[in-house]
Amino acid sequence: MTDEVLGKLREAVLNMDEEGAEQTARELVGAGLDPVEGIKSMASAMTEMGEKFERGEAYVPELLLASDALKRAMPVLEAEINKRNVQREKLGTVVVGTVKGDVHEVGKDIVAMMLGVAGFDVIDLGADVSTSDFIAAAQSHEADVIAMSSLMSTTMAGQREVIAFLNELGLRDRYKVLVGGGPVKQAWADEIGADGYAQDAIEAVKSAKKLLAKN
Amino acid sequence: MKGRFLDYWARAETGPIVPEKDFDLKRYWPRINALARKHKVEHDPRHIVPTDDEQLDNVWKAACELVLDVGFLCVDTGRVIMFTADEIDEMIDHVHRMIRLGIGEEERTYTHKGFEDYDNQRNPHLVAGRVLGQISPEIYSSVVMSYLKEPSIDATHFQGIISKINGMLTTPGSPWEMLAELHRVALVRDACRRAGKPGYSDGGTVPVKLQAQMAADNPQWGTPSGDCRGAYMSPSMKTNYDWMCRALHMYQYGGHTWGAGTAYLGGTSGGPATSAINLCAELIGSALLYENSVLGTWALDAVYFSNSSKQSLFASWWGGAAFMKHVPYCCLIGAPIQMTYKLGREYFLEHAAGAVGCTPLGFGVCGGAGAQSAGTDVSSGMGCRMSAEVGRAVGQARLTRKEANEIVLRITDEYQPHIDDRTAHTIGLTYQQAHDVETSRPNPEFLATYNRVKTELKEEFGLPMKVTEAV
Repeated sequence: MTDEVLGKLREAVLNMDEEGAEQTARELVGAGLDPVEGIKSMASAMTEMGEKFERGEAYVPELLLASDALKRAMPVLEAEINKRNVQREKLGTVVVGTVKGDVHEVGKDIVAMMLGVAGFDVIDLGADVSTSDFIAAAQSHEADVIAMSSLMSTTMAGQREVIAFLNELGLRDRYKVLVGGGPVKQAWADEIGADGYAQDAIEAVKSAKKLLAKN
Repeated sequence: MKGRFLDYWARAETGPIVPEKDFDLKRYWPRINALARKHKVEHDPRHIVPTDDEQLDNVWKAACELVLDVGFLCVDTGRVIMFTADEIDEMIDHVHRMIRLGIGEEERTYTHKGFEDYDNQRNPHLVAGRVLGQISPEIYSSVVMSYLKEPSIDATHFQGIISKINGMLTTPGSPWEMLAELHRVALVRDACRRAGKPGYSDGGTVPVKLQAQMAADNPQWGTPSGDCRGAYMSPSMKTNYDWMCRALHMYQYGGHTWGAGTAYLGGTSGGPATSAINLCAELIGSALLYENSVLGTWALDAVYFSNSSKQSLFASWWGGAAFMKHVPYCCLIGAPIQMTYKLGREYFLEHAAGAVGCTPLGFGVCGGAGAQSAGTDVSSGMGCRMSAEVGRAVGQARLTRKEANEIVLRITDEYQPHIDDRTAHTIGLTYQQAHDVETSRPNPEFLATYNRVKTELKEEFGLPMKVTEAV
């Protein structure tokens, strides 16, 4: 019974079936099965989607749709976890966004997705995010990592500004700062004092884990 | 002749309301996949250069249906701008069939070229330079001059970023961004005059905010009316009021705009086949919404920012060729618009592959910028020289699309491995390592690399390249 339901939940995520995922999550809870196992099963489905994406066999919209299926089932499982008072291990919370003046979202979306797949709690602030919004979100969500994307050479300065604000506000030590995006390179990350740099979404996950020593 | 764009823009206030996420995932994504299946548009990695006209018609039909069924989301209003089939037909009837870029002695005229249309204008009819990424202030003029000294380049997008001015970073929307644009335009115009090309067309679109671009609009000391600025689609199938304002501003000024069909392979537009459909649909959208003077094909790999990989060339060329087969448009620039490698052998091979594929398709060619447009000081007029020379050789040899495809497959085999392992952007030289900064001329080593690639193209691929001791 357990394997069957967990397999069904996994399939619902892989098939991007929101209703099926929610329904199966209810079935799992109704059968008295462990909700944490349900979350692990969905996470493994998302990992598979991520691997397919890396091989060019799945695309961003499919990852987003699979993620929507996961998100639809999640409240059902989380409610049960809370009821049972079980602690679930979290990798950390990442506030992610594209910096001020930059409306490009594709790369950032992929990073947000892959971080979520890996098990981070992701707060996606979208594009054209002001410095103060990055910091306010990091504070309100008690984030561990601030991840900033920039696709344009002209907007990279926004990444430096966030770090400067963190320094001046005395908040720099509270957060790890991860930067990336088309024109962003390791030399720039070093220059502005970022903690990590990622060339792509896969690297972003590795870097975030390394920064929080989760490897 | 321009006409309907104001009425089309007004639809951004009246079209159906669709939240952006629903537009992406529930409206656009299922429809583009269904259309690819319906019209049997598939990715054939052995046919990067399109040779199958029936399949090109299928891409065109799918793209038209995508425009009609999905429309273009205006992200400022959250409404979709919809079109009818009659409006697409009308666009085909009235689209720019001829365009003039530049002014005075530097004015160049471009008209539509068909497939293997070698006796109509030069081959290729437009050679466009691009300076991209950050350029250090102390070499900016030298880089610009390296393009201006190339007689084969017709127009250039001097789009290098001046990252600091007056000791300040050029933050978007700040006075420093405006100052940087004033400085950039002044540098470019000065270099054009010094090169004896005062009316040369610049298409550089650097400022994030339109106000900075507008500050330099002055026919006496700033942007001349023969210049071109960007007004293009946002991915996928989206527009916004900023792009409309940019187009309107250039038109009232008497200038031009360039647009692009884009696609993010692996990203929002899916695989190479759906990306080709998306790119063609965005070209149709650009012709309807912005009525651009020049269009480009800009498919990119979403995971590794490459515009010259086998997959992105497939999407760019199939989408672009489907558009040009059905629309008598004056000037479409084919991919790659930017190279993935830094300056060196593979960088020249990327240009060569582009020119071999684009010329039989009747596209203009583009070149100069390397390192994914992301590196500092990685642009050179020499890349564009390679595009022009290879394009001329293709025209002289009168390559069929089939022959061109065979050559492109072999050239791309040479440089694709470091795109696949995502290290291409680290391989090669910077401008300072490849040029004499004072004279802008390529140094002997870089010139030797250039000539070796030409020899390779002649001996390995039979292209009638003229290998000389060029300056």
